[in-house]
Amino acid sequence: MRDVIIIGAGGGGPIVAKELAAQGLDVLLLEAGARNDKPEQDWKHFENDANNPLSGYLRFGPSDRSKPAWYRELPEPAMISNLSGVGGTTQHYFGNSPRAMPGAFKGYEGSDAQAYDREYEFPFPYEELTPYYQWVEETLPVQTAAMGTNEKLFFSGCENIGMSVQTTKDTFSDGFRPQQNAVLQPGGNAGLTTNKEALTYPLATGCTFCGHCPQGCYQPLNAPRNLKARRSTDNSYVPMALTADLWADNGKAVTLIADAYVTQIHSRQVNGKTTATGVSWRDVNTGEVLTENAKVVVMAGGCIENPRLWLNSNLPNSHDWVGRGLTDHAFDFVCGVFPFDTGSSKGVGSSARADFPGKGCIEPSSLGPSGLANNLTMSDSGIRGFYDNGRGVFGEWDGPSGRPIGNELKTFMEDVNKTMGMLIITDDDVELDNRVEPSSLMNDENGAVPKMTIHKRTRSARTLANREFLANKAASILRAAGATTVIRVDIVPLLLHLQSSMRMGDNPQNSVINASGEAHEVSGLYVADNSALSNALGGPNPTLTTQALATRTAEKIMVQHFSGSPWVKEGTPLSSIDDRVTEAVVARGL
Amino acid sequence: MKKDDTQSETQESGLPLSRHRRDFLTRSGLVGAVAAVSPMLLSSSKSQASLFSSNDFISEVFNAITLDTFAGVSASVIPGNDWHSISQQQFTLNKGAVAANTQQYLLENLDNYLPWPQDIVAPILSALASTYSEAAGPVPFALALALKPVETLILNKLDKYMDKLIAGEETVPLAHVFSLILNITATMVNPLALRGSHLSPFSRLSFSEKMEVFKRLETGEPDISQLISINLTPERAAVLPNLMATFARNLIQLTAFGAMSEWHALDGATRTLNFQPVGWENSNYLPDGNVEGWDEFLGYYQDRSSIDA
Repeated sequence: MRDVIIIGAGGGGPIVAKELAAQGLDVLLLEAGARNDKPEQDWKHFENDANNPLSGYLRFGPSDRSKPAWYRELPEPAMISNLSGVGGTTQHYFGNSPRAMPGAFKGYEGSDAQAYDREYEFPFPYEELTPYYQWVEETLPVQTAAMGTNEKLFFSGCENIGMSVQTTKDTFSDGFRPQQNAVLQPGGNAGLTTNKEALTYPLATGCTFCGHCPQGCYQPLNAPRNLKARRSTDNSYVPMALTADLWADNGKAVTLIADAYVTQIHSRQVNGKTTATGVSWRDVNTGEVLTENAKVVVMAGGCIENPRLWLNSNLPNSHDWVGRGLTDHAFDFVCGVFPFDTGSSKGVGSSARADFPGKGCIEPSSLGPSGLANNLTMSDSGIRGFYDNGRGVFGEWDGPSGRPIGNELKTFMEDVNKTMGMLIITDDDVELDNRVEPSSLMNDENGAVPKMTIHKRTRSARTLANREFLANKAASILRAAGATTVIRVDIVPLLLHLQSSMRMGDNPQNSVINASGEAHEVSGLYVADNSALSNALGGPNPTLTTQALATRTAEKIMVQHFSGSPWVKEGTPLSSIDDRVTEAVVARGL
Repeated sequence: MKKDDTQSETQESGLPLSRHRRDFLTRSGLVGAVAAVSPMLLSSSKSQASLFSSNDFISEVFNAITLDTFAGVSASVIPGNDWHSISQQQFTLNKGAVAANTQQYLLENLDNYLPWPQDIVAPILSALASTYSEAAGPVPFALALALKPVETLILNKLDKYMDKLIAGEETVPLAHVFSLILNITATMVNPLALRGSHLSPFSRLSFSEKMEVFKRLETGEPDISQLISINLTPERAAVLPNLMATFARNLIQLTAFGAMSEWHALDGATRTLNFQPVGWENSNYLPDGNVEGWDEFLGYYQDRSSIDA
């Protein structure tokens, strides 16, 4: 019997795995997708090869790319952009690691308190999370982002509309700033040359400004896995988890199995309460079904897979909140064309941000031509100039919202380095009917597929108003930075930042897990990924908060099930780029 | 006795082909594709007997019409200097999505990777062959294409294969279903698209007429979902409007994504570029090929490289 089985090696699972492995527990980490253990050989800087949602090496599907992606039923317009594979969706993230808005937490008394989703706040004060933020920020590590042409332009736009600069990690008022991001900042030749040989580790360290975050980070070349620039969990926490016996006193290395699709959580009645006892998974390649037992099971398969697995396992759901309350940050995309270079396809592409507490955030989102074309055509407002699909919103942008195609699209994109995209990240409300449930239409080899619904057009009045505010603000920033043409796409739900489908709360009538991360109705079953978040965080990117919360949950597991003591408030974290970790990673051949 | 041309016509092969079915095959572009592909098939080294003893030629016909339809889609999303772009009356002087072979990209991705459930796809195909194409009315005689006897034989064989697809006895290639929907809808938008210089009725439309096809599919007007859902259970019929809208939107999106990508220039074995991709040229992206980094580091905003709290 294992001490702990963790389902999912994405943005949250590896955090629990590494923390508990460092405490000496026997941890099994299961991942449905690919191991991706040789990115320098297996990954390339090509957008279709990497990001094709149907066949790319970064998709939600089996590691065998000749097989179709895993199907999800979408009864309303939406585009899925989360990933399977070790590292999960962090494999293609920008590394942005802002803390949540304090207003999203219980006990917040700021003058803008009513601007937030008060009905579904976190069940503890913001300050409770601060040491866990600090722990993760040291471990990843999180650093202040360097500036390239793209960021410089964004800052000038913010300055020109009179915004203030934020110089703290905590956000209490409107402001703009460089991202705090999980990217090792440039050192040596990085950022100073395009010469390949000069950009090889150790001549270059950290981010080389290659511009390919969405294709997976393997820069600098020849760097040990834990010293790759972008701190997706496959480069940070997973290497630590797999070597915990080598760098932690009494540590025990995690067992990682990829291509392992968990199809069942087992449980039995203990003292009249349902208690998790283990899991079964299906070997994606052979079809073999395997089972292991554990004292604790941690769900970290993501906002879509966790509810699917829970409900397919027939676990109790008397409150009917499993899968409900899904938030997606009600994204939008606003893009400008400039008469001068924006450096849009170079560098991290999203190393700056503007925050608007109570409303949400804006950040540049610069991509290669395929990614840009994809975003520009992902509209819910029809085709500009021909039909508006009942939308066609007007504002600070040019003409109605919608997708450009034909000559308009081609002209708009004629120089990708004269564009700048802006991602609108809305502070959206937890709403009962935005949810994940098992499909009644289709099963696959892993059970009923998930059916995921976001009622985009009928979101709460606050959500819709926030989204409009931010879209207008983004267009204003683009214009103030010098854009000559600005298009608002009004995208369909982009399922990338997903939160709160297994939400944490102290009211068992509107939440799935308690303030410790354990299920209200199943003992020994925890949730430790974005789905555990109580709400949309006020808008900031969710990964850092998920990782801080997962660290806290790991402590709770250790204390409640293994007679351990908390370690975060009194301890000092070991950075994932510490020499001891590097030596361990090299010694283990990772 | 007056012949009921809505029932069956006796073809020279002796096989029956109803007027409705022939109209469906005409509107979907398959009759034209048979006429276009047959000379090549018949001139191949295979004997006619061996040709008709297998279904190999069926995929040739389906691929021909589907690729031409997707070329029409590609030209509409990113026009170029190709014939599909010129004929839609929106073109450019440089290459576009057709030159990037986006039509083949769509075919491969939709057929091999998009996991739509077959128990929805087959009934949709059945409805396309009946209520949907019938809603467009009979094909005017002047716009119908006359086939040679041997071509009629091929068409009838293809028709039998269509029966199997509709019955769910064979896996329905999704790309072909997409092509059928686009072409039948195209003939509703402009009946003159039944004849013309391309194989695909959709490809014969002007740019603005193509936008009208996308509009009808994305908005579901007029009554598209109702016409296509007749063979579905109420539960499955309920998902159809969004499935159609998703189809239209995703087709445009996937076209744009693929056309701007490296796909057509990538050597699959070495995963290196054989030449500069069209989409890269059109967007001035990586003019000297891929790099491992850029000289873009401009320092830190206000010289602040860290934050303490």
